[in-house]
Amino acid sequence: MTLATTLDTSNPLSLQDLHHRFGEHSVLRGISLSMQVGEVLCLVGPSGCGKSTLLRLIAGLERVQQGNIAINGETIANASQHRRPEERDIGLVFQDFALFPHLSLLDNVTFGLHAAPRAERKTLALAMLTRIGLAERAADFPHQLSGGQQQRIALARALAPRPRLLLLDEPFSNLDVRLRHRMRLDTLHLLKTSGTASILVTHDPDDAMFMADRIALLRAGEIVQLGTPEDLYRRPNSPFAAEFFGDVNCLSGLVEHGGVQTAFGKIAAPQLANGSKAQVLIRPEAIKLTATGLSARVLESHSLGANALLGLALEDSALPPLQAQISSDNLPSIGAQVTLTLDLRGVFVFAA
Amino acid sequence: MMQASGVLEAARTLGASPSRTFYRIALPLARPAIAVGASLALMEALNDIGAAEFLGVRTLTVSIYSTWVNRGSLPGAAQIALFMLAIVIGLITLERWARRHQRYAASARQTRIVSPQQLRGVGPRSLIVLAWLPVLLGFVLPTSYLVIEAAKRIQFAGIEATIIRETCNTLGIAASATLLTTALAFVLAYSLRLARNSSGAHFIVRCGSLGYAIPGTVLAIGLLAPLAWVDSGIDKLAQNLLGLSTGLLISGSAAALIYAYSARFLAIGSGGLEAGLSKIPLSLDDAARSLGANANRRAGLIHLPLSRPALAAAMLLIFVDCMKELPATLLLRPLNFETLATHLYAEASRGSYESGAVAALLIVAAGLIPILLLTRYGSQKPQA
Repeated sequence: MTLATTLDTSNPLSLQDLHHRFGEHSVLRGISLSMQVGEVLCLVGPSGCGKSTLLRLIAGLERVQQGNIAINGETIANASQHRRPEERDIGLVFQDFALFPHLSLLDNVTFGLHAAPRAERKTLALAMLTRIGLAERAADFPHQLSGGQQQRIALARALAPRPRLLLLDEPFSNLDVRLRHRMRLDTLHLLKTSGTASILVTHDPDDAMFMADRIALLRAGEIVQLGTPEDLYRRPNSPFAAEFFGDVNCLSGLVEHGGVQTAFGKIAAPQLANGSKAQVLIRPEAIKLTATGLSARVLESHSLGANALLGLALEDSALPPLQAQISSDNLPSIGAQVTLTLDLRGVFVFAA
Repeated sequence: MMQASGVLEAARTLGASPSRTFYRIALPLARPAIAVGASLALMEALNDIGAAEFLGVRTLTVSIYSTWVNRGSLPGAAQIALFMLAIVIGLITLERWARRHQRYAASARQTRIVSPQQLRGVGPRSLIVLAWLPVLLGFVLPTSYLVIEAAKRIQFAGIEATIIRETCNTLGIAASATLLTTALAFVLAYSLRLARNSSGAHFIVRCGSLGYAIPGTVLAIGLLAPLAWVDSGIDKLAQNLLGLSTGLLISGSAAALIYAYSARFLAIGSGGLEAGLSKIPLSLDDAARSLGANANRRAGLIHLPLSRPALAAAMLLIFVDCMKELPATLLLRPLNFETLATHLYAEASRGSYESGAVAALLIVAAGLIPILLLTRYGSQKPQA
């Protein structure tokens, strides 16, 4: 594969102002985004945020009610036109893998290759099976495979016809945790080497952080924030975004002279008006145990392996206990006195 | 008994005796299911012609038949048929109502089998006898008599040529009707899936399955006149275009029978195939679509192969029903065309039942084979 053949001046996918309702219930409210060539975009959000509906609209399994969907600059769906899923050249990987149970692995992968000359189909499918390391099992049937292998076949089957866009709907949610970590690495390699622009829908922020070039965070049918994983973790634009990608401790206070007064001292809040209420969100790993700082007592300690989670009560404070995540190496004992400082990179201030 | 065992157990822990649990909980919960069963039995009874006439009960079905065949009055028969149709619609309404409530009753379902209860005293023996009674009286007794009579008859006269011809007639027509009906049923069930169970499609399929509720005589009376019109139309057309007479092309041939069987038994096929198709996850359809397969290709490559067990079951059930169908066959068969069922009916009318024993046994055997096959298939683990 050469880069030149897949390079296209227009966007592999662009969505303009998509709205969708199921009866009275509005599921999508004005979704617009466009993708880069070879990009992996993750749609994340709590269940019911509309991410699966968006995927079904792009695949053509649901009709567009309002808005426009274009692939490589060519409109394939809007309120007045609807290209059928089988004519869209968009690959799909399903949560339950949806492998055809009565077809061998080879036949599953060959299924989408009916446009290729008959003689080449088997070669292409076998090449795909070789890429995912399952060539020697070509004659086996789906039920003979493990969950991870089934997932690889589902991916190979979707990629074999070289779709213009690949959609993955919660592809790892049927796998146990360890397998899931390996599968997302393998999947990412396969997506990147094939150069196919992909959209992955997940409710798991870890999957999104790991896989995505960019993440679109959805809530109630709207994109709350769109950016790189680093953006969403380090620079969340809302309390919702901050809480979605990790636990936070929540403090509140009034804004005075461009800052919020907290137990940790004044925290800058230049964007908020003086006298307004503010909430301060602190990531557990932003609370550091240091030689000097705010005094606290260790209430509880839970090992997470390499790291540990501490419950800390501040001295002379009525605040509820804070959660801190620190390295397990020098773990203080329960009841010990410690001193704390904040790493401001993990502290976010929003209007309350 | 698909009742939630949890409900029954809850009643017991609340201090209800077994008999109180039965009357206060199990029986009321089973009421919708009992209504469904009763309405189905009533429909079957309405449809029956052989046993009723034989036992001298003048049912509506018998009246329709004799009004047309003996008095030659099609309008008279049609009037009675219309009245019967009203009864059938009443029964269908009852059945629908019961099913709606059944859904409500089943909502508390937990599919766990009620733990068996040890009975003491004379209870167990009498219950076993009670459970065997229907099988003994309804199957073993009449079948043994048939076997004895058939054996006598074969010893005495050998196997008659007419029986063989009638068996061939029956098998041929039942097989053709089965193939046609199953094909139509698959088209219906698959269309319903393609329409993703839209209410419009549901309505059409329900209408298509009404035939099963309509008694065979009513259906036949309803078909006689339209088929005659179609025949005369074809005949005129052929005479004008080709200068030859086609005669009674449909109503004079077995085609009318196949038509009637298909109309009547479509529900068996479409119901079974709907259930079979519903076991195939919808994501397979979506996956195939995303891989470029249109509706026909999906049907051929995915749905037909995966619903093979349901197809086989539907075909067996339709086949058995076609084999033993009597009321519509009596009215719609071509002249001198006998099936095993009509042969049996004729012997019974003449009072020479023993002569019908062989034909009767053949029908029973044809009905038994599918039951054996289905129970064997059902107990096998489905191939993944």
